[in-house]
Amino acid sequence: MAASTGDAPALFTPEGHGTPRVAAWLLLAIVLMVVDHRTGALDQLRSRVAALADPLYRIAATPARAARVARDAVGDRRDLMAENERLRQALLLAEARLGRYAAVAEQNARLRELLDVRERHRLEGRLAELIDIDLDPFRHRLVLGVGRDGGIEPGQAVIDGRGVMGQVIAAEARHATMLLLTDPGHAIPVTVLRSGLRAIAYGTGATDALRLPHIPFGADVRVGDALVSSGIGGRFPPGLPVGTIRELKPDDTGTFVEAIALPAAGLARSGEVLVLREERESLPEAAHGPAPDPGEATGHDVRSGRPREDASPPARTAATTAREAAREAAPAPVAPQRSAPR
Amino acid sequence: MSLRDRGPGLVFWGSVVAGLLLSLIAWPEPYGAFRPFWLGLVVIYWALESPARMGLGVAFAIGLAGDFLTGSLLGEHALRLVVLAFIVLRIRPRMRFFPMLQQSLAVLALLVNDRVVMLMLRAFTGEGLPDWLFWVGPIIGMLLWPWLFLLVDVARARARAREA
Repeated sequence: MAASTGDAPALFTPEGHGTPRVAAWLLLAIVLMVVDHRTGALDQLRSRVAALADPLYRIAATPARAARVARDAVGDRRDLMAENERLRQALLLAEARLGRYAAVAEQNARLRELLDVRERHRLEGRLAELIDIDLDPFRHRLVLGVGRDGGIEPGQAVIDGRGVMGQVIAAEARHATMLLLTDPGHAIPVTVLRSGLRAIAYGTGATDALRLPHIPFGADVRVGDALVSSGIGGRFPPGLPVGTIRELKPDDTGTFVEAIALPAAGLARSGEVLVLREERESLPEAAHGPAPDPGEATGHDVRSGRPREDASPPARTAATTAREAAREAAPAPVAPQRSAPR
Repeated sequence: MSLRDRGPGLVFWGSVVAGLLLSLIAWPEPYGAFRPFWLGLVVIYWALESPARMGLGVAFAIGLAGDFLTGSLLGEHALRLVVLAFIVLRIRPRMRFFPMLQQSLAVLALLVNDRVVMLMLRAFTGEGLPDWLFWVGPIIGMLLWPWLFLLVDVARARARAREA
């Protein structure tokens, strides 16, 4: 600590803040950053201190919350009616879709019985409110108001009503941090719904764009195609909407096509989200046989700042991944080859 | 600590806590990126006005608190604030007596320099280049500087008067 300046006339005494001293502090900062970036040595410390941040987060969120409450209170009645109308229509649509899904689900169950599939994946969701604070406008992270006490674990997928938002990267007792799909350090394996083509969607740092590099020329993909999570890698359950292809262009090398997709989820900072937990449940007929391995208990290695955690599937045991891949393999990309999508 | 500095201790810590809180508070959505580097402004003020309080070590500690709060790499805010504090402590003899307009421009230069430091850090961690909005924050910081300066000055004068 530079305690030396004291009350000497500061006009003439810049010492105590000399170059060696600043170099030492900078070096310390750099060492800390490198250790934090390359290793997990500081994770424990970080999470212990982060738990203390909770009250500050709540305080910092109050202005935004107050603004929202005020807006709701004085909001134009007509606006509210219009919103109500819109929500009612959305609900109707959703119910209609649900009705159709029920039939499909039943059919699916029957087919599974035929195939003698031992287990299925049940999605369990937990509603979590977002704390309305902004950690860094140039990094895409949100803070959830529920933490480990509420069953939130790092690695869990987060969705909203329209699609995948991202994943939990750190959980403290009473809050958790999530990384949005659009963070440059995020990647999610996706499937083109129409053709079954697989790709990985990387965040770009812009809230309205995901990047899908390395698509071969001649692959069956068009502007407007819907993308869903493929489930490969095991972090995100398969079949959740991720986005829509907005643009296709050759990449810099000219050997592949790069697609730009618009994320499906509303990536707003406030409101409520659903944190998913995938649970395996055995079908009653298949009580015999080995128990499903609890592979997912190992997956909690993602933390802030690590780029591309999700691109490789290190979290699961090889067996789990293989099984998932097999489960995924149904819509194989055997679409007719067409000329380069331009 | 000199006699001069003892009174406004509360103001000092108050401003640091306020800076930490402000660096969490979200700006309404299209303007999210306009948020200035609040902690940077706090550090500049105290390095300028009361260098006995704002040594490099204190700047470092405040930066660490910022890192823990915002979940950035440990040392990122610390490094940025140490750089800021160091430059201000160096040019302090001149900067103190700048007229307000010139001082604000100096603050702009400091904050732009901070953004450059940030870009270097991002380059090392492999995060891409942010868009142009990245450069708006320093301008907002410059516009806010005179008002913050006056605000904290008044608060300090009050605290001192109460003490006397």
